[in-house]
Amino acid sequence: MLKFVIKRIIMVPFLLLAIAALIFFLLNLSEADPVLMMMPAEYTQEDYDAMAERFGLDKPLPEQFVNWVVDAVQLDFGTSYKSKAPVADEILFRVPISLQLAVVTTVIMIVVGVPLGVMCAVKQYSVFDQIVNVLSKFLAAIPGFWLGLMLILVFSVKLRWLPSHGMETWKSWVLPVFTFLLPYLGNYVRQVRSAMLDCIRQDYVRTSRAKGKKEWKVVFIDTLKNALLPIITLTGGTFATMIGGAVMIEQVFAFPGIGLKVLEGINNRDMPVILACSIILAIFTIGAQLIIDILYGFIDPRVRSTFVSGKKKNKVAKPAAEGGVQ
Amino acid sequence: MSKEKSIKKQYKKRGQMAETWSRLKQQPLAVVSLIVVAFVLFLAIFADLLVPYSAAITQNGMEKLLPPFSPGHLLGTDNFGRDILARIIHGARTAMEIGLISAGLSIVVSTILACLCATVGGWLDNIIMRIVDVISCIPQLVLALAICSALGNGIPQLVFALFFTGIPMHTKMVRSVSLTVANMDYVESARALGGKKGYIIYRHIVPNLASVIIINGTAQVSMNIMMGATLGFVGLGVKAPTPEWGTMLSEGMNYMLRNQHMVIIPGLVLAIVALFINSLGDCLRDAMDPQLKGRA
Repeated sequence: MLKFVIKRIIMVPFLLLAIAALIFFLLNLSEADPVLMMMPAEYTQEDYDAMAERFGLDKPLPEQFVNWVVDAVQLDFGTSYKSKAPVADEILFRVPISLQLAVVTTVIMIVVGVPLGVMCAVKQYSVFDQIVNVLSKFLAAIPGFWLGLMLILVFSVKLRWLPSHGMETWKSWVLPVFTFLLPYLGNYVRQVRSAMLDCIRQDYVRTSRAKGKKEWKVVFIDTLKNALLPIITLTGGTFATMIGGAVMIEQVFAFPGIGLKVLEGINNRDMPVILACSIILAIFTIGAQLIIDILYGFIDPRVRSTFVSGKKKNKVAKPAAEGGVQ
Repeated sequence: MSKEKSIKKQYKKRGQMAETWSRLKQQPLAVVSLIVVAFVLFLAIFADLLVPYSAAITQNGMEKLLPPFSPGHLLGTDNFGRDILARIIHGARTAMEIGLISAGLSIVVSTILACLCATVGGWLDNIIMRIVDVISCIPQLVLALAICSALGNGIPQLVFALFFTGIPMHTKMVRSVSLTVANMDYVESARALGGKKGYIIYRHIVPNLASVIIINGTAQVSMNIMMGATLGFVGLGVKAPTPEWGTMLSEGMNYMLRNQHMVIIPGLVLAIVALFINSLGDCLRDAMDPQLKGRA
């Protein structure tokens, strides 16, 4: 088990390096000259060269990238083209804010979504199931940022119950969290339901029912326990997509997280900022994936047994720990 | 002789597509979704005949911010006095172009990649999957934003960004199915009979991937339309006067307090289109794989 985890962790820096390289060269496809954008209206060639040298832009691209990586390892993400301040100072304090938003939303999603999904599966084709099904399809089709605008319109502008932006009191978290939650919740409930349905007709469920176990025990212990693996994959996958989706939510609610910064960076063509934000968002995604894999190891006896005491026992195919279970 | 023929005709096996179609027709929701999607496609194709393009981009200072149901402007006008209905209709064209082309391209490319992974395997599979892993670690929206900001505004750039970000998910999904197919007995026997790789892919693997491709493709179209609107909303989508639903939303945001119609209408249209494309996809899945019906 430990070996498995260590193996995954060793991969992380290489993944990050590859991601950084990809984004770095993608951003450099742009024809706009970053040095030119930073220069005042009138400048001399010396000024230009000085500015290029200050930001390390006079060197060839591969060298720029290597320099960036060496600095980034020491948590120095370069200097913002726009504000001329160190990027790390502008970004690192935003990490907990974004993380908090995503985690709070995910926790609410689990607390609300799993019971709803289980209820739907147990009472398949009932009125309740149909209503949840239709509702979740509607929710999945609504663009998150538009939902945010509509909620602001109703609750901040018309009713004046909740603030539309900022993050001072708990009240200002209500709208962002709801906007964030609703589009994902529909899909989540439907997938939990289908994971439950896959298990609910299995022979072992029938057996335990035949043995006269209480119905709630059959549902929550025999069925849910077995449906847990796809649900964990699903939760992790949703968390990973949420991290990307947060960009829009932060934009609509002017929520000072990483997402807002990345948009700011993109509007200003501020490459160090975009690069640093993308890397941090990628770390979130990889972290979520890592946690899922580790949880898998703890929960699935097949995976656990593969790594007992570092000795590979019966080689079992590793279950696909990839998102998007269809 | 003729009797034999008629029997043959009677019992002639219907193709998978005909089978699917006949099952699809029986679902009321599928028929409704098909009609809505066909209607949007109709709007997109014949946009110029319905409303001249000039109506969607001509600014008119006299008729700024008219509410819906004003005379001559069924859905009202925006802050530049442009007719919102005309912009919605021409926006349908933009949305469909973006959604269909980008989803189509990413499906074709990722199917080819996935088939190569499944049949050639080995180092090629390893390389492709590692690249896919790297790309899929970057949140899709952030990657699309980065590509759009590097390449600039415009429909081709947007299509490329959505095409590129759509590849990893599809490749993963199609690969896992084609691996199952590639291990089937009939593929084994085709190989034993000396079938070449290209023949096996074309003749045995791709036809068995059809349902996955169509179902995921439908989902991808609605996702890409939504994503295109999202990029438009943050100002990275199409060039300025081009009617596009996301851009319309972001323009409307500044006038949200007094003229809500500018925000409500494009978002509602976007949600309806996405909803019916999604439910068409769900119905297609039920029709193609009746065993799955009602499960997901």
